[in-house]
Amino acid sequence: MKDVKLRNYRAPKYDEPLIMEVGSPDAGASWFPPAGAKIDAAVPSLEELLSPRARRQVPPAIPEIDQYHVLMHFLRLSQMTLGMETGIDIGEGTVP
Amino acid sequence: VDPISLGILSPPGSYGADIICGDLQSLGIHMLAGGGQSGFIAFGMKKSTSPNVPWKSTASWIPSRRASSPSPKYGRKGPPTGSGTRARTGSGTASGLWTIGAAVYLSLMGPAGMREIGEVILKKAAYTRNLLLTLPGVKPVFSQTNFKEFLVDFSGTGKTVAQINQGLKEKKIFGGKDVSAEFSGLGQCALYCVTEIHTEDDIQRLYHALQEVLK
Repeated sequence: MKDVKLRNYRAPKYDEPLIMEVGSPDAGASWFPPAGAKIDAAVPSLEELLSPRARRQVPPAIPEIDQYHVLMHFLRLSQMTLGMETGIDIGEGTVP
Repeated sequence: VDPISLGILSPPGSYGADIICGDLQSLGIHMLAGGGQSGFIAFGMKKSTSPNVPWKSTASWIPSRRASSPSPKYGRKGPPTGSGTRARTGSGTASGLWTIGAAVYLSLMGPAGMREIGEVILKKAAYTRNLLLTLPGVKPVFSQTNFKEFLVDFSGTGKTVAQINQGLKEKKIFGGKDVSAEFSGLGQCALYCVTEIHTEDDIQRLYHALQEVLK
């Protein structure tokens, strides 16, 4: 343990809001590829496949945020967790 | 519950579930040898259940008591927490990391993406099921709409699922899971699964391969 350079290390710290507090409706980054014209034509409509009771009426409360801001958000969080290894209190195995 | 279904299917709380559990693997986690394992338990925000929740956990597992059954891989030193294989619960960095992966996946998909993917899976599964049922001797087992997985009955083809899967294997296709031993009352049934990752070409390839195998 010679020449340890951790002394100069400072972890980044941001005033990062919760991901649910940022973004806006319809800002979702993913436009998922549809099933395809042939499949769409061959299967019954969604209304026929799913009864109204089985179908979700209220969309799930998950973030609506574009890809760039998802990346920035989780990047900043990951930067803030760097340095945890040199702290105390956390001790867990890598598996499972 | 399968979380990938929850953009399109009713959430379990809406039909009375107090505690639900599921696997995170469908949320963008690939197949990995012995890894990619993370699950969740979710509670409604009710006074009867939520005060008892160990909030610090982000993941936990309950290994089987039988030593011979498959259990999570720990390496040689045994599980990281608890006492030997009798540990009731444990959590580790890998499950924690996959939790982040699933959170990123959900953030990227958003409510609209989750609805779209649910729709695609429902349609592809329905399409495949209808296509397989056009094969001579192949019968449906249940009549309901299926999400991802569905059973097909090969009893009428005169071949066992094992024979069919062997034939498919020669065409480099893993056939549906043979459930004839577990549910012998159902006959020669196989469980097929179709998700967003299967293209129409994949489905057609399966159909034509089955057509040849069943000849």
